[in-house]
Amino acid sequence: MTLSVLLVAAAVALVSLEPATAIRSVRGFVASGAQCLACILAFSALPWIALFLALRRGAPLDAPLAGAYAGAAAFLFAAAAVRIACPIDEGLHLLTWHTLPIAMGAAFSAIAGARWLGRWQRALDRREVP
Amino acid sequence: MPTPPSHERLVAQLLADARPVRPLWSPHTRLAVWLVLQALTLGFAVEFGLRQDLGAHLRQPLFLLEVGALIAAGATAAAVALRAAVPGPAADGQ
Repeated sequence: MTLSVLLVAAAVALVSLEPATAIRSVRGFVASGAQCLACILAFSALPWIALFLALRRGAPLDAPLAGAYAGAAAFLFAAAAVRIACPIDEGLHLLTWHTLPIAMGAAFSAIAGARWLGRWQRALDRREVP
Repeated sequence: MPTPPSHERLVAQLLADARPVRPLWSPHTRLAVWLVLQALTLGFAVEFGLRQDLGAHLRQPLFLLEVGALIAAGATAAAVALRAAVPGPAADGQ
């Protein structure tokens, strides 16, 4: 956990070292960013589903935390892939459209984890002792 | 100390409902399979990405550190997630 946080912090710090260029047009900033966001979502979808299903076959004791890890893992790899593919190296673009989706993906996945990864515990709780 | 009758009834009920299960692959094996999937994703990004100057960027330490840190953090998070889904100290075997 600590290592993961440190590495993400290092990536964010490194991204912020990229040149900060003034935004010439908000529309262009959002349009190019939306493409990156869509790519990150596309790149992360299948790995997230695969990892989530793998976790669902197990029995995570802390379902939201396991879900958050799964989301962070899928979105971190997707962000790496988009960093390789995206031709824009501006710091603000990278922080807004490449790094923020990682946090949002982890948060979404934590909610999904709370909803679907803890079902085995709830099923056990519902079982009544005769 | 004798087992309370309610516990014995619960165990009997669990045994009555038990069905055969397929053992899980170890977290290491599942992580390896997942990382292969991710390697394909990264390969796709390298092959079909919009960046024309990727070769030059791959010689820049800052760029390599950024991408390397993201990949390392992703692999660590996946390993922790898969490990968390198998409670118990002897989880690696099952």
